Amino acid sequence: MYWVTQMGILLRAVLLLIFVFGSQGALASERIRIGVSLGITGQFKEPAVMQQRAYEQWRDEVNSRGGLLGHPIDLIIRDDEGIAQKGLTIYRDFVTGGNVDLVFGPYSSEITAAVAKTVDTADYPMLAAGASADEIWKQGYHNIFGMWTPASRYTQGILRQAHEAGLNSIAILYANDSFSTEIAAGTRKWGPYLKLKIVLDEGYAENSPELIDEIRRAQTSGAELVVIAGHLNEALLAKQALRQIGWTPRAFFATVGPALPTWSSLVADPADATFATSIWEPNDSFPLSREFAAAFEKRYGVAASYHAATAYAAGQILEAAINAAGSTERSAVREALFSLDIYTVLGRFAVDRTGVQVKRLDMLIQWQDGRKEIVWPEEIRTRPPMFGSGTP
Amino acid sequence: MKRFRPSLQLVILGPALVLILIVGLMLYSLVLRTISDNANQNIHSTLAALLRSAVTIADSEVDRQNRESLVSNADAALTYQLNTRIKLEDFARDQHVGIVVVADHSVDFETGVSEADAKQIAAEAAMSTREQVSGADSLSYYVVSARFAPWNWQILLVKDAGDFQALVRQVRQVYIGSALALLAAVALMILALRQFLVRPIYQIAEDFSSGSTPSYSGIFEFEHLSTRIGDVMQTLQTKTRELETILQSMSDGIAVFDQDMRLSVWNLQYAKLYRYPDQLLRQGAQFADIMRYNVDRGDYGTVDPEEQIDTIVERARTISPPRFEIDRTDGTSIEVRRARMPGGGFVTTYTDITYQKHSARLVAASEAKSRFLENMSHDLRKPITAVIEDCRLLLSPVDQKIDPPAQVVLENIASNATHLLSMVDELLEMARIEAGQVAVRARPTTLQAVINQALRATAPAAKTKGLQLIWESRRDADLLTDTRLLSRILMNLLSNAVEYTTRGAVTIAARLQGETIEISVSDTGRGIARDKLELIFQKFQRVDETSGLTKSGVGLGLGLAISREFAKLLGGDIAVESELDVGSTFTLRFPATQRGKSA
Repeated sequence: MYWVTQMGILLRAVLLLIFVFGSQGALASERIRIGVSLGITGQFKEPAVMQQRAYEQWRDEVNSRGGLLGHPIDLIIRDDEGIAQKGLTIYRDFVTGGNVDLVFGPYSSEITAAVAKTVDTADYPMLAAGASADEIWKQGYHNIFGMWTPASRYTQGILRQAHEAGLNSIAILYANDSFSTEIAAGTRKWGPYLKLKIVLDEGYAENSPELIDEIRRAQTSGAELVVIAGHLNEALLAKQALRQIGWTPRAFFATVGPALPTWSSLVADPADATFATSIWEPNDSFPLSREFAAAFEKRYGVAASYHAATAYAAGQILEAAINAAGSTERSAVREALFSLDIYTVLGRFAVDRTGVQVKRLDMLIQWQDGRKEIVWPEEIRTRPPMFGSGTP
Repeated sequence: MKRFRPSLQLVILGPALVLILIVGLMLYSLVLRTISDNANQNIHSTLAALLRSAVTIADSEVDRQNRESLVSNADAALTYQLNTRIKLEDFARDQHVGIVVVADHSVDFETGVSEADAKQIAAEAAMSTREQVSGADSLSYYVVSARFAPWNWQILLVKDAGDFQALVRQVRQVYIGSALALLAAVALMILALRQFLVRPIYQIAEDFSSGSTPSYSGIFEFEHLSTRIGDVMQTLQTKTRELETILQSMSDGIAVFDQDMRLSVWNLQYAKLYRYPDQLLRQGAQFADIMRYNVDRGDYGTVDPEEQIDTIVERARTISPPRFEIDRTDGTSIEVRRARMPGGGFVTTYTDITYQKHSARLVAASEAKSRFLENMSHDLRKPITAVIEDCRLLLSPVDQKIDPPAQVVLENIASNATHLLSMVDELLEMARIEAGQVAVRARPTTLQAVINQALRATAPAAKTKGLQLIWESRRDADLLTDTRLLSRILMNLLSNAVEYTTRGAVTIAARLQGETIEISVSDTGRGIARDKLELIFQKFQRVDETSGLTKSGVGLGLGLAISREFAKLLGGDIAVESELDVGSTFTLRFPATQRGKSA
C-alpha cells in the first residue's frame, strides 16, 4: 500500500513537470523574443536609430526565411534615451521579468558597461553591438561578446602607417569618456614600440565647444601626427581649429567621425586628408556587405552606417550561433558564440574566452581627393596613404 | 579531590568525536598536500605549455618576417615585433596569465600584470631560477621563462599564485564548514542523546527517587525498564507499608537517627512513651534537640542541661553502653537499646519495663513471704507438737489420776494445739505449693482404698455430729496416682462437708469417665451463694464469709485452695455446685493414670 501511494505521488510529480516544461516548450516554439535597448531619442539618436533599422531589417529577413529553427522572431526594442540608468532598468526587466528569450547589447560603451553585470549574472549571452571599451572585458564576465575591435587597438592602422612613413611624434587629444580614453591608452601604449614619441597627451571634456587651445598646444609640441580620440563632433572641432590656426600636421587622425559618409560634406574641404578608423565600409571587403548596404538604403532611403552594419552583423552572428547550437537555450547559444569563427557584413567574428573580439581588423581610411579610401590593411587597400609635409 | 565521572554523552560521543577530529586533520593535511603537489605540478606543466605557445606566437611573426625577407630592415622588424606583442597580449588575456617581455635587461612589454609588478618580476627572475617570485605588491607569482633568440627577448610567463592560494582558502573553508557542520551534528547528537537517552534515565530516576511509580513512555527499552522498576517499587512500597505497620504496632518505641544524628524513622510508640509533642518529632530533627526537650522537661532531674545533653549525645554517638535503663522521675522505667545502622547512624529501641520491674519486686516479695511462712511454720510446729504430746502424756491414764478440771484444761490445750498445728500444716503446705516444692509421686492403688481411708478419717467427726456418711455406687478402679495428695483432697472435701453440715448426710460418689476419675462429695449443709463460688478456692477465704452465714468452723481458709492446687498437680481440677439451704457438691476430676511429676 505504501509503495502504491509513493508511485502515485511520483506519477503526479512527473505529469506536473511535463505540463510545466511542455507549456514552456510550446510557448518557445511559437516565437523567439529578443530584447534590445537603444537611445532612440537621446544623445545617441543617430547611431541608435541606425541600429534599430538594421535589427528590424534582419528580423524581417529571417522571418521571411521561416525564422530561426522554424521559430519567428519578435524584436522588443525599448528606448533608453542614451541614459545608462534607464538602460539598466530596461535590461533588468528583460532578464528578470522573463520577457525575452535573448538580448542584444545597447548602444554605447557606457550603457553597455552599466548593464553588463546584470545581464551576465542572469546568464543571458549578449552581443555588444555598440561598445568597444576594453574595460568591459576586464570584469571577468562570461556572457558579453565583443563585435568591434577593442578601442585600444583603434589606432593600430595609423600608428603602423605613420611609422612606415617615418613620422616620429604624436599628440594625443582625447575626450574623457571611456571609449575615447581607451583609444588614447592604446595609442600611448603601442606608439613608442614603433618609435613614435608621445609629445602631447591631453584629455578634454566630452562635448567641448571648441578645441582650439588643445590644437595650439599640439602644434607647439611639434607633433607630426595628431590623434583625436572622440566622436564626430570633436573631430569636426579639431578640424576647424586646425583651419583656424592654419596648421596642417603631417597626419591628422580622428576616430569614428571621419569614417562616416557625411564627413566630406561636413568638412567641405577637397584637400582634406584626414585619417580615421573605419569599422565597416559598404564594399566587397566582406560577404554580403554590399548587398546589406543596398537593401538598407532601399528600405530606409538612407545609407547604412557602420552602426547599422554592426547591428545587422549581430543578427547574423546570433542566427549562426542558434543554428550551431540547434537550440535557443541560452547556455548552448553562449557556448556556440565562444566557438564561432565566421564572416559577417562587418568582417570576421571570433572571440577569446573573455569575450573579446580578437579576429576582426578595423580599416584605416583616408580622405583623398574628396573620397574615402581604404589605406590599411594592405590586403584590402584601395589607395596608399598620403602624408603631408606638414606646415609649421 | 572529586572523582571525575563522565556523562553518557561523553562516553558515547567522546571517542567518536576524537576519531573524527584525528581523521579529519589527517585528511585535511593529506588533501592540502595533494592539492599543493598537484597544483605545483599542474601549474608548472601548464605554464610551460603556455610559454611554448607564446614562443610559437612570437616565432610565427619571425617566420612571417622571414618570408617577407625583411629581416635586415630593423625598422620594418618593429612592426612584426608589435604584432608579436599584440598577439601575446591577446594570448595572455585569453589564458588568464601575465606576460612580461624583457629586452636589454629591462621590461619591454607587460600584459596581465602591473608595470611595477612586471619590473619586480623581471628583476627577481634575472637573479633567481626559482619558479615562484614576488611581485611589487608582495603578490606571489609563478614564473616560467624562455629566451626568444630572434629578437633577444626573454619572455616571462606569469601566473598569479593567488589562484592557488584561493584554492587552498577554498579547501580550508570547506573544511571549516565541514567542521562546523560536524560540530552542529555533534550538538544535534548530544541533544538527541539528551532527549532520547539521558532524559528518560533522569526521568525514571527522578520518579524513582521521589517515590512515584515511573511512567515513562516512548523508547521500548526504557519503557520496559520503567515498568520493571515500577513493579519493584510497588513490591517495595507494599513491604514498606508492612514494615511501617509492624513498626507502628510495636509495643516498643523505635527511633532511627542517621550519621548526622538526624531523625529519619520513628514510630508512634516512641512519641507516646516520651509524650513528645507532634512538632518535635519531624524528619531531620536533631537528636540533641529531642534530648534537650527531655532534659528541659526534667526527665533527668535537676542537672546541668548542656552537660547532660552532651553526655547523652556522646553516649548515642559511641553506642556506649549499648543497653541501659532509665528510671524516670514519674516512676516509669525505660530500657534503652542501641545498635549501629549499616549505612551509618544508629537505631534505638525504648521498652517500658515499669511493669516487669514491679513484677520482679512482687515475685521477690512473694518468695520472701513463702520463705517466712515456711520458716515460721517449722519453728511453730516444733513447740506445738511438743505441747500436744505433753498434753497426751498427761491425759493418758497410766499410773495417776488427773483432777477433772485439770483434765478439761489439758484437753482444751491439746485440742487448740492440734488445731493450731493443722493451721501451721496448711500454711506450710501452701508455702510448699507456692515454692513449687510439692512433688507428685504416683503409685499404684485402687479407688476404694483411697476413699476408704478418707471415710475412716472423717467418720468420727460425722458420728459426733450425727450425720450419715454415705458411699454411693461403690465402684472400684485401679489408679496410678499420688495417694497422699488424693487422700488430702478427699479428706479436706469430706471434713468441710461434715463441718458445714448440721443435719442430714454427706455423700461420696465415684465415677469412671473414660480415663478420668470423677469423685463427688455432696452435703446437705447451708450451701454457698452462686456469686461466691469461685472465691472459696482463693487463699485465706472462708466459706462462711462467702456464704454470709455464721462461722461455725475454724481454720485459715487454705483448705480448698490447697485442694485445688493438689488437684491441678494431679492433672485435674475441682468444680463446685451449690444451692443455699440445699447443700453443695464438690467434684474432683483427675486422670486415673498419673505420670510422676513435680510441680
